[in-house]
Amino acid sequence: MARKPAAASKSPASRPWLEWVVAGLGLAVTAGVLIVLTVSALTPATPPALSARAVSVTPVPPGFRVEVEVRNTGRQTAAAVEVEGVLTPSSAAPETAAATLDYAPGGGAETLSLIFREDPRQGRLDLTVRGWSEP
Amino acid sequence: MTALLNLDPAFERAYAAGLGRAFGGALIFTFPLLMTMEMWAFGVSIPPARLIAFVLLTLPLLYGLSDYAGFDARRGWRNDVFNTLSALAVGFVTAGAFLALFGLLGPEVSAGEALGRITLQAMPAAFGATLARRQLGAGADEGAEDTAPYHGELFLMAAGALVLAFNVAPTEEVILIAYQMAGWQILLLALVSIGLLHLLVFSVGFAGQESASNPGAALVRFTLVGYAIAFLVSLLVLWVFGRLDGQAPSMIVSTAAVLAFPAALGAAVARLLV
Repeated sequence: MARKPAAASKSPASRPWLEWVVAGLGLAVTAGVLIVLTVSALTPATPPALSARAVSVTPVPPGFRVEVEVRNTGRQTAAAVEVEGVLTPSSAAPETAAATLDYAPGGGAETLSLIFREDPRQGRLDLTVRGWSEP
Repeated sequence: MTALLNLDPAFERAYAAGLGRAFGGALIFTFPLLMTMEMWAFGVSIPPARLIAFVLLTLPLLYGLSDYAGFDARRGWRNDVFNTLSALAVGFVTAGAFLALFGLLGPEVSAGEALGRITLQAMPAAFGATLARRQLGAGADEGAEDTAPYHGELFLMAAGALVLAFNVAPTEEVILIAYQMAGWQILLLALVSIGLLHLLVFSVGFAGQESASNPGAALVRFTLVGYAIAFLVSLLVLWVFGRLDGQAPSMIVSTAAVLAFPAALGAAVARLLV
């Protein structure tokens, strides 16, 4: 192992064990990050592919809360994702609720909530992603 | 390998103290970034190729800075490599720890997003860790400071410019200001930036100030070059944040001139502090 004589320091001409550990950690982390990012960069980037589905329905004071999971199966991130839900109950007028997600990261899922007056379990609930923009 | 078995506690403690100062420096210079939501958003949305380019472009800068202001007094390329790697470790750990603490790496964040967020914050933190040596340090070897090589001063200005530009660039105000300013105001801002850079480093009487034996030469050698560095660093930072994509050249120059103002202040601060 090569050693660098320390001209101006009073300590022996070797490195503290701690310095080896820290430098090794720095090398491992930086190299690891670069490798992961390179692999990620070489995988072709697909545009956002968004879909919404209802996960759960909970009764809340104004009516019912539908928890919606918005999944982006593309690799690029979408911003300002607008999700609209249209509830067509069996015996009343259709109801619309909408919400916007700040970001739907590529390959990930986000949740948002829509509130309806009628019970979504008794009727037809259509969830659509209406549009988004580039981050 | 016997050195590894003969642990000298005082020697280890001295290094640990330097490491503590490095963590302090990383935090002080980058806590505003850790608490800026645009940085978190960019961490997620930045294309991997751009993040790689950013890391690769800043690594030589970090190495050059370690050579001049690294966190111990020893010289030589091996020490610089160790200092650079140590600064990177400190940067990543600081960024990772605080982003996790703030709930930004939580269970709903995918590994890729987390990696992007941490890496984007870790590089400025690594610069902060390296700059901390003189500013917070016990000053093991001050002799080298007065005879710092010219390129060392340039790396120092670049590091200061990078850290301050990073603190300002993620939010929208930089481009909004550029939109609002007329051409003559942009030019005036550039001149003011150059003037401030010169005055702060040479004339106004801050502690740590330098006296230039020949102010004219100092203007060209340090101030103008320093502003050029601040401007180039601003371009780099704006490009990393995607602010230059699809912009007309005049807009690119205006936006870079706006960001070069804090970057120039950062360059001055780095030379005053370190």
